[in-house]
Amino acid sequence: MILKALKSVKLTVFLLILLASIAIIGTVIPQGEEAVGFAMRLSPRVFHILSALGLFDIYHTWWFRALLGLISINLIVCSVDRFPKTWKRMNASPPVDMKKIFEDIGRDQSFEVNGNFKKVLEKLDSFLERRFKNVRKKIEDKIGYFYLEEGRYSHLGVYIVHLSVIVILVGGIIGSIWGFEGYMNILEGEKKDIVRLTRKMKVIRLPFSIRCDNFIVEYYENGMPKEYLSRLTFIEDHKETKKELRVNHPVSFHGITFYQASYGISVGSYAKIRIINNEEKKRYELTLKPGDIYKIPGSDTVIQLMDIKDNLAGCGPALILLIRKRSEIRKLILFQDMEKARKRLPKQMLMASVFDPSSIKPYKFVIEDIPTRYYTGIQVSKDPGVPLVWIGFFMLIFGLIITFFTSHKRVWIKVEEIKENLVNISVSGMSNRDPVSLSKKIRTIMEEIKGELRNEAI
Amino acid sequence: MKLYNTIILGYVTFGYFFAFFMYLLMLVMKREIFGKIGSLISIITLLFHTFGIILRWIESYRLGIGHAPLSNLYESLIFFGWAIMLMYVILEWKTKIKMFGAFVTPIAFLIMAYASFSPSVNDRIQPLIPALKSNWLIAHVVTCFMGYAAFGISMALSIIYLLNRRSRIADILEELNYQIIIIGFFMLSLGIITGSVWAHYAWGSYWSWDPKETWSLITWLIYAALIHSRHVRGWRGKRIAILSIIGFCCVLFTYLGVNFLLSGLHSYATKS
Ligand code: HEM
Repeated sequence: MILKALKSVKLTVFLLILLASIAIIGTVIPQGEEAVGFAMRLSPRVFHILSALGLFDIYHTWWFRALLGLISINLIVCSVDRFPKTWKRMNASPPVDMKKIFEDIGRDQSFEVNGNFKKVLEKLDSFLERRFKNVRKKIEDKIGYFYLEEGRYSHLGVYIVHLSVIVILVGGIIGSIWGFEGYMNILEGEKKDIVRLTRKMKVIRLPFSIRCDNFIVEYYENGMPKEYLSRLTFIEDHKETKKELRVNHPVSFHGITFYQASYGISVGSYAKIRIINNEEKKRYELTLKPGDIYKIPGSDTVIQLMDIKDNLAGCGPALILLIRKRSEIRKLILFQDMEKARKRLPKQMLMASVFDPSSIKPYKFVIEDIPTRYYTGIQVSKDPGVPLVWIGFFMLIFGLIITFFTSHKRVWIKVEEIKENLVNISVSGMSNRDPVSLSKKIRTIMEEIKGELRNEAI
Repeated sequence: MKLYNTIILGYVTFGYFFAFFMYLLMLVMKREIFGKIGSLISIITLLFHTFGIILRWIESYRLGIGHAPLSNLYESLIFFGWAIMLMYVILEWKTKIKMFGAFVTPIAFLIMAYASFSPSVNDRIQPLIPALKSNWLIAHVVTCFMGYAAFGISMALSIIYLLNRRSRIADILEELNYQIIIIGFFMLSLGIITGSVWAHYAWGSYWSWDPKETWSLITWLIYAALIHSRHVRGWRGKRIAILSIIGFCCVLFTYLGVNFLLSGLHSYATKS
């Protein structure tokens, strides 16, 4: 019963459509990291139901994999079930009932030539021997048959296609078991050997470390990015190997592949600011680390650097300062790039005193320098299944070409003496698919025979 | 500055419209001559279309940012329209059936009109961002859109089939439809594979279930189901036609719907 179901192509059609439908769900509900924002808008009950079903990571749930497994079983059972029949059909000797084969051929599939039957037969024989391999013939008194075939292996195409699907899936499984995928962000000048895995709360340590010597972004004239380039040094037991990493040009080291994925700007561990006292015409230049406290000399004002932000509200690097004057505490946010902040933030917001560098009289606070460095974002992956997947891709294309664009064609040629010095030649054929290419084949064979017999008058 | 290629391609839109009009006249007036004019207009317009694409390629080099014109929504639409008309002209030439024209030329017209006249489609030649600098991109776009074009024609044939199920040509239509689906399926398979190889080199993963990838797989599965359903006894004609129409809806969703309704790596439609 079950075996019978597994053998049916009806099940195949159903499973393929089911798989497509489930895949649709995965594109409507955000998956993985993107699901976080979506999930927060759901009620807790709905969230729990969806989460328990694995709908935030559909393609990695056990039941999705089980479905792929079921499809594979269906595929294997179908193929094993049908293969012997196909093999037999492929190698079967041609049918022998010539009457049937030439029964209802079209009028354009036969013609007559003037000439001696024996001579025509001889000519045709030598021509076909030259032109085709494995010509079989059956010659009688007043009638002769030739048989040739082509594209017998067309029957095997479907099996190559189906095998390729299995090969690709196996490649995928190998990748998911013995491979990993992660990323690392390395600051310029920094050295790292820790990779954070995507989709898993885990890190792994590489058997070597990587230093980012520098990171470069090039731009086109219109401001669009042209190239991202990281100069990397791979360090293993004090041996250094230098490599350049660009988008679309990954670098491999000890079977692990690195891809240029992203980049960012990171602030350093200190900032330089200038405080101007407008009344006393004095200025103070100081270098602060987060947490540092500085008392302005000869006053009761104390400032503390709370934090250095890489990218505050999308406006680039910024400082957060706390300023204490006796019992009054004020917060001050300074953007390094005030132009950018003006573009991105609403005017009313920037008018607020937190953003006004001269709101604390009589001082004015100015950023002298926030040293920044690039970091390069590198995707790291190891996937031992890739070669198998590539082989599967190749087989898929090869198999499809054989299945769709070749066919098993069988062609019979009949030579018959109608009367003294008048011979009829008919061509008939059979094909496992694609009647169009069969009739084309018959037409060309007829043309060639006509040409051959005309060339040398009989 | 408006470049010549966009002007030519704009006129091409009207060429397809006139061809459509002629094919329609042929059907309504039942006069052969309009069909012939329709074919002639189609072929001439296709030549201009080809010229426009080549010119765009040349002009991109003149701007110093040379690349094959296959890199943004506008260019992909133009190529899509071109592929549909190329396949159609070949089909008409092989089958000598002109009636399909009335159903295919409006598709090409709509695609070209959307590309040329929609304010949301940017027709400027832009330099390539680093992720798009890959020969796999060209292979990927060409194969995908050849596949989409075949499926578009198949959809037109399916509609014709559903309207003419009792007629003489129904069997020919059904066989022809299947042949075109096969070409489309082969091209889509190539498209998914080249895209996958490209993703491997650009992002480090040949498959990451990004919505666009997933939708192309969904489309592929629908057509695989269609191809297999011919092996289920009695499933010919009508069901194949309906599956083909559903399949083309998937194509359109993969191509445009994903960009506008879902988010992902493929960012043709996003404005920077
Ligand atoms: C779900 C598992 C699958 C099963 C059980 C299955 C089964 C079958 C069967 C029984 C046939 C008919 C073979 C014959 O003529 O003797 C067939 C044909 C075919 N299958 Fe599958 N198949 C599956 C998946 C796929 C997939 C994923 C593809 C994608 C490329 C595919 C591509 C083909 C092709 C191209 C044909 C040939 C159709 C034709 O002759 O026109 N199959 N399949």
